[in-house]
Amino acid sequence: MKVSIGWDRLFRPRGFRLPPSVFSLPSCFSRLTPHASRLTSHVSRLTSRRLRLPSSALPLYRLSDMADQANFESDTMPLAQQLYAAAMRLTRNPADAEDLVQETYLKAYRAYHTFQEGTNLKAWLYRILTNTFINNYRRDSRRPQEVDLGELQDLYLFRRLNDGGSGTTRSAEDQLLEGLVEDDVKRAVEELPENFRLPVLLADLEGFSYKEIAEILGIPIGTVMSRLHRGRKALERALWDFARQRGLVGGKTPDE
Amino acid sequence: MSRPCDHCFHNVYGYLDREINRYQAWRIRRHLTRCGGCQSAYVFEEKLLLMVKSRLGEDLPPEFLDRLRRALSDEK
Repeated sequence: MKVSIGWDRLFRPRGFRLPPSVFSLPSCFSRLTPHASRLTSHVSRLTSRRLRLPSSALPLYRLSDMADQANFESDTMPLAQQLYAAAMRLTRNPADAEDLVQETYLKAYRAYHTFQEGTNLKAWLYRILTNTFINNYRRDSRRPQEVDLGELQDLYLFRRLNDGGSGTTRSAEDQLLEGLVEDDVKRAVEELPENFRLPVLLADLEGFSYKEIAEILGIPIGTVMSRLHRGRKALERALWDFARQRGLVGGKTPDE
Repeated sequence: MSRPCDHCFHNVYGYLDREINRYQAWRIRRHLTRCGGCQSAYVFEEKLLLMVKSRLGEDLPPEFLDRLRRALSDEK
């Protein structure tokens, strides 16, 4: 995993603090939790009273670590539900999904000091999640499956709807879209081969841009685009099959 | 099928994801105002992606967040 180091960390190694005469709050206090703000006000009172003490006497680096910890939970907990939804589609069962999310959080917590504040926290967490999944939870094989999805048409579902002959109507479309239940869509996504499923989940469930997906998965942006588009077409084909099984649409099995 | 329709069909995801350049997007927008078939295809595709997103949500298992917090405090 690429580790980015902030420039201030680069020029001021860990533990090094400015002397108290030019004391200013470290940048990590910018997003204060109530708990941390109490700590900082206490610290500033201390520093103003004992201004002559050498900086080494102030255990500030400990306090800043604590602030990071406090920040970690408040910053990352709101994302737990989204991460869990992605983990469910990746691992296909609740127990593994829970483990995967928990492991992601533990790894993220351990590495949180390397996270550069102000950059994309959500993308950072997803990178840890996908890496953890690829390393630990892939049952099928150690290598990514390179499955060929075959030739897929653009706008597969729309064309199939039109194939009916009568021409598509808004109501037929809406009937299809509303008739496909959660289980259909979830199963259709889960049936996608992994290298297509990941970009589809990241784009369609999470709304990441192609560039973000490329960074999360560590693949070129062109690869993201082709996998995402092919994955979606395969998804549309699977949804069409479910729709036919449910009798939402008439018609025969199309042979490409 | 005319060439602008092909162009539209081929770039539907790029357009909906806002990942094509402004010139291509403008070409598509201009074509959509003139071609009912492509327009309804785009509308359908957009609805489909929204439908997929809305169906993929997942409720957290009960007390999952508590377990997560506990695991994190063990780590501390």
